[in-house]
Amino acid sequence: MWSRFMVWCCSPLISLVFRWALGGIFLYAGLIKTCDPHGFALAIYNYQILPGWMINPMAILMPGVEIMVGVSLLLGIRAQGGALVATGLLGVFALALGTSLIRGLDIACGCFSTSSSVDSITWLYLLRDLILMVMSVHVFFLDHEIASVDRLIQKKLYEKVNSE
Amino acid sequence: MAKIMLSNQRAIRLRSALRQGILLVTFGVIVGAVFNGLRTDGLPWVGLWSSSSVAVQHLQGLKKISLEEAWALYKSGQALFLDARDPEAFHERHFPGAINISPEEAEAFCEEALTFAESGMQIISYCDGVACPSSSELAWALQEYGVKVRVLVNGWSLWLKAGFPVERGAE
Repeated sequence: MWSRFMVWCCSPLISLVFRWALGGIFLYAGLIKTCDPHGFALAIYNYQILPGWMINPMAILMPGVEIMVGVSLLLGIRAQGGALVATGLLGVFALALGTSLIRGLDIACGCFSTSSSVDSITWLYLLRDLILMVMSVHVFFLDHEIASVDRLIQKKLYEKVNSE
Repeated sequence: MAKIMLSNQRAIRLRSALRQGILLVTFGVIVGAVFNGLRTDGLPWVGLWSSSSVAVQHLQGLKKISLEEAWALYKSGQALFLDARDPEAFHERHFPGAINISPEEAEAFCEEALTFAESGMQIISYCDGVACPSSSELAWALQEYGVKVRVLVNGWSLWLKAGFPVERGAE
């Protein structure tokens, strides 16, 4: 039973589903934040973790990184690197959420919305983040490059070399 | 031997992933900077972030009320408090007689608020923290429907610190 479950867990199809799901989530989150950098800067400020001079650069640059990670995972371009960065980002988000929850801050997540009047963070937000982190670790170790641009390019190159 | 080869393979795979990751982050940083540069209302690279500057931003165009004035109005029975914090925090504890309203619920509440205002009640919104935006957003939303609301900045913390009474449970 357990070995069956492990085989199912490690199947390329699961990895592909995780990769696409994470790609879509990161792309969406990045685009939302890019559309409202002021709102995102305020969301970062509310966590009271970063010094004031780091808030604006973070609000400007982080959405771009999220978009690149999203595109990388969705299309399968350097997906292993994308999964590594995604894991790192989710780890940082988990730390920020966890410390804020422990400090009892009543703030909006700023994860998929830049409005500060949406629901406040709860432990469920941290759980969601950790589930996404497990998914990205899965993609990092077990992605088989199915339906990926990288594999397509490799195939084309292989065919070209063979035809020559 | 096989073990050494496997660990070598893993190290190569990890190094390759690290290189890819650094490349992606570099591109991402460039994308973020370009997007912000192209925007007409882009964010400045250096910003002033302090609780007072954030509070000033939120309170532009709104009327504030001091804790002493709010307390005096409460004691004379002329204060209606609107708690703009999240429902969970509200159910735990809130100002006596307060109503839990989010800025999104302002439209549904505006008629009731107008009735209170016409009866001589002063409507006061509050949330938790100097920089918390929801009390200002609620005041803005209600003002759009002609309801005059004053904001008690950092209301929840100030009220608790002063040792004023609070209620538990639903409104």
